[in-house]
Amino acid sequence: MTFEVKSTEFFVKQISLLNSNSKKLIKNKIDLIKENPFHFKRIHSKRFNKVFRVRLNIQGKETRLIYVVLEPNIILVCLIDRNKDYRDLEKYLSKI
Amino acid sequence: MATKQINLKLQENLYELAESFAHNYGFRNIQDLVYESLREKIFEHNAFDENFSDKEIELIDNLIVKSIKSKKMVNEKQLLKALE
Repeated sequence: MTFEVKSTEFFVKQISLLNSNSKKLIKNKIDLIKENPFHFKRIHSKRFNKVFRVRLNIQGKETRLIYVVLEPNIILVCLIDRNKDYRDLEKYLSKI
Repeated sequence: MATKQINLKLQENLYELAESFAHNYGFRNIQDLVYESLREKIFEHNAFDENFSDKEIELIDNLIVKSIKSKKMVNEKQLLKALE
């Protein structure tokens, strides 16, 4: 099956703030996801049964790239890092 | 779901082992054994990551739902441009 990759606007905002090495790293992960979207571990989403996470280290921070498979699309949702600061995400959610 | 057919060449001893395994372990035929083996390989890493808090999961779910509903999505071309 060929999947079409999309992303949330929020994800694009997050990656636009990254340096070129980090962007390259994310691009590599996206290529892996496209190859086999079911390769990575799932998370316990309450609304979707195919939400996955990819572990990566971005600019020294342990980060998770979250994506959801909703055939025929793969939607890159967001980056979540382990310092538990979600203010940006909460602010964005309150606006849309 | 549509299916595709492939031909599979196996060395004779491997074929015999597969046939015996399929018979002994309750598979209907070698095709079923191959099907199950492929699924195991592809999905072998597909366990759950238990390290996400309820809050994180709620935020992720909300972001997915709201992005889809409000059509605030970016296509692959625009995404790749952002990664340049």
